[in-house]
Amino acid sequence: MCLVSPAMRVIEAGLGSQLRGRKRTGAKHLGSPEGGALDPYTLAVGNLLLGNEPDAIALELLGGRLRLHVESSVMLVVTGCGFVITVIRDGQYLALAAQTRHRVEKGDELIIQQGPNPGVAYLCLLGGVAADGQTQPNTEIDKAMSLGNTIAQHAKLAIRDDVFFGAHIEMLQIEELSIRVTPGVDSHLLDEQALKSFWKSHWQLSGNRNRMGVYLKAITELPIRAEGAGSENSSTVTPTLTLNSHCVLPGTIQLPNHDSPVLLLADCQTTGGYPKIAKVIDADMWKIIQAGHRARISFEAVTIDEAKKALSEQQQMLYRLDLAISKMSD
Amino acid sequence: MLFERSKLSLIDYGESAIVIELIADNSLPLPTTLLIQSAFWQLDRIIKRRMAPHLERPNLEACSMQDLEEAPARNQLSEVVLGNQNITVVFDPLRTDKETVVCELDNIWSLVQANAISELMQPDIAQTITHHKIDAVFNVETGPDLAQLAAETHNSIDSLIKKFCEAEYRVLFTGFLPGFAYMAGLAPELYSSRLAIPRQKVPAGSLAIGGEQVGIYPQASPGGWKIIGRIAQRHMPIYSDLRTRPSLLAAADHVRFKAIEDCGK
Repeated sequence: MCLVSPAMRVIEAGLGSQLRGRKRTGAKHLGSPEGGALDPYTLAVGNLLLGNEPDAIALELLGGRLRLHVESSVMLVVTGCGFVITVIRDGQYLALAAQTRHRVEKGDELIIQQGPNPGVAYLCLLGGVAADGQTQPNTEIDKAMSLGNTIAQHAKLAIRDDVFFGAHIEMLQIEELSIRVTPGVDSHLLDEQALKSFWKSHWQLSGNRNRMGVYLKAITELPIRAEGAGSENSSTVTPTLTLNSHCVLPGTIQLPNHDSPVLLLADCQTTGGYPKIAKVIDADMWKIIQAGHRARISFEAVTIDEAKKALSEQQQMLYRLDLAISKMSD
Repeated sequence: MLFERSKLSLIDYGESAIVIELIADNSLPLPTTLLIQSAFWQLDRIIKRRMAPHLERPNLEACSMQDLEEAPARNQLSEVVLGNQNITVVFDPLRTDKETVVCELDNIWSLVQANAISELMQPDIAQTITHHKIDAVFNVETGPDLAQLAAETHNSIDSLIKKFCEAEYRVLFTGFLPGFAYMAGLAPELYSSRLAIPRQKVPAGSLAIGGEQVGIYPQASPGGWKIIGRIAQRHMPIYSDLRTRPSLLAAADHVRFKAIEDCGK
């Protein structure tokens, strides 16, 4: 084990800041969600740029403003889209690029502030982030599930001490986004009209979101309704919606009764009873999470093999990044 | 025999999971019954044993780091999740060949149908099935929906509690929250629909009726089931990662309730 030393003190905690890393597997059958980072890809990019393990713990920020006082110099990467990163050094404001390695010095103040269309940001430190006191699970549910430590004001973040060179990866927010999905297990329960509405509509992420899920809002209004009885021109789901409870996984798009579709995220419940329209392929989860609420999203059906190929390509990209960084630090 | 004529239905759930259901030989879904769920209890056990033995030791704290690191390599499945008349298996699509998983699931089903495994597994399952006697306080304070439910089902509050406590319940599966057990066995006259608007916060230990099923909220959470009482403090916590058996209630367990006056400390 490496020594940890306090690196930063939290002045302002930002929105929903928690320490997040590897997801937990093997406890879903007990009802425990997998947790881990909302966007494991973006976390991996940040960690690999530092030479960390891809799922090393980082501070996950959902929005607002995070202000940190740097207590000892440290290499860091901030990943994610839609955030502005600033360092105040000797009264000077320095803008930092995301997805890039930087070194901050003792006495600096680091600010990560959401822009008008935030995705999810990760503050990765060399060696991974550890929390030092002042962190408490956010709610009783978090506590029972031990999913993530909430970062509050005055918390201190600790790191491993080491030095590397700089590197940068592009991650852009795209306004017109096509997200690849595999058709849902319960597609046959939705009538053709409702399915057509889902595939042809443009969607936005609504403000109704947390780590369990985010509701989707139709931009082009093509109603999908989830009840048999109703006005004639509405789409319906047939024949019944009381599905037997079944396992649900992050990335699933469910259609709750009387409601718009919901995209399930890392902390989602382990079982559910609503029909599943589609599942976002693993390789595209980062795009939809980082898209922000402004992006116009449409869904494109792909086969299981195409989903697997896309995942393999994404893994290859991360392997290459890992290889490049380890060569640089030799 | 019902199962001899049933087929395994395997449906892709994205690139990393498969949903297992049973269908009749005319391709129609089977009725939702306890008998069929008991076949899923067995299937769940056999799949875990043969394809994900690390899941049979659910207490994460008790595993050494080495166990956890080796687990993904040794096992084909990262999760085996039992639902109501279905099982979902999750795997890493880049490390596990889906066809191999499908093949193994078909093999397991053939063995279950041939009764070769069910006999083998029976004593094993029986050993882990627990009979629970759970004390609960039924009053207007612990059960805010008690009076309304009594009126709806044409019972006095006392007769409702009596009927509720007379029945024996079986845990179908756990889900929703860590340790939340879905139980069958409720007297049909006490079936009651869920609340139109779920409560923002249901206290931990609340005993509730949702449709045909009974459940206990393991922790304070939002909830739409009708709350009729609260279990005694001595049964809490219902779920803890630190125990060898993290969840008080597990699939196939038998549960009986007894009315008491005070939840205790």
